[in-house]
Amino acid sequence: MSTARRRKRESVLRRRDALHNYTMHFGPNMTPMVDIVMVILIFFMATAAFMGSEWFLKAAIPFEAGRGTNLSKNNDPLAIPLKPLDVLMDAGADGRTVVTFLELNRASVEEFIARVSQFPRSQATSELEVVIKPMARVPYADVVRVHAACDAAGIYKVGITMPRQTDVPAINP
Amino acid sequence: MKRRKITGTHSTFEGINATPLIDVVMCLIIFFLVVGKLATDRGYAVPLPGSAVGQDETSASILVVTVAQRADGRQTSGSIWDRLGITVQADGEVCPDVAFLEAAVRAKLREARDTSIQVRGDKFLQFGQIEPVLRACGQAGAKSVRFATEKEP
Repeated sequence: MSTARRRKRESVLRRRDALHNYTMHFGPNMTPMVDIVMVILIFFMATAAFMGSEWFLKAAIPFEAGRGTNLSKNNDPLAIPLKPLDVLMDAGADGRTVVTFLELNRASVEEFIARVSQFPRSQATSELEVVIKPMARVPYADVVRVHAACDAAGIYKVGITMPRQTDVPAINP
Repeated sequence: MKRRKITGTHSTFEGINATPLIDVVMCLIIFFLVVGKLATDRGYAVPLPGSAVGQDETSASILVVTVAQRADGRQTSGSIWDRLGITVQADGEVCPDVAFLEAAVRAKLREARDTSIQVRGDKFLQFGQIEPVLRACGQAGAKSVRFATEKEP
């Protein structure tokens, strides 16, 4: 190899090597950042799936004292009365849950859901208070279904309590 | 001159670069710490009733009350929970009687007035089995509870 050719080859090699180094070291090293971002991404995906599987239905625990006496807001005679509406629940003869609410008398849970979904989407409905009063033998899952139906209808003030002695004749006529 | 440069380039690529490994391992450690904490917060796993509506939990202070069906039906302490055939846990701690649950709720409410009481009730329970738990929460000063439900489409 002549000296001229060797020089030329060396200069080509050197240039390629310099270019290689240049591309390798240009800018910040992205590898750790990409690693962390990917782990964070997986973390949030996992927690989102984890947290998203359930939610909550809020229920008040009503006290007998001082409940149902605040009727001052009820000025409009056509408005839905603001005193708490009772949803009485009992287990029927065939083991299915029956509901007594407004004009419904020992109706099925499906009928209750249909009835409550007819409530107008209004301010009055959102201020309506409903107290669910299930008998002890009513399945908890049905209580939650009734509660969810109230929530879906726009009734957000829902309370849950045991029926009083005075309620029992209405549930078990 | 040229030789030194080549060996210099070589030495920078020698050995394994531990930085990304440490980054990832640290992230994994934090991940498992958080998940471990969440898993204990969930308490006893019970089958929850389903609902198509509901809200997400927004409160910073939470007390998880888990009401599970007693599997063996064995009476251990003769408490009201035994007669009802349930086990009750407050934040993962087994409540032997009503007074214990009331104390737990009261302590949490004293800590933060806006504590959210999450009731995680087994969907196969009857309301009569859950009601004493609600009554205990009410007795301890809770104004409301939140029933945990499984999201339904």
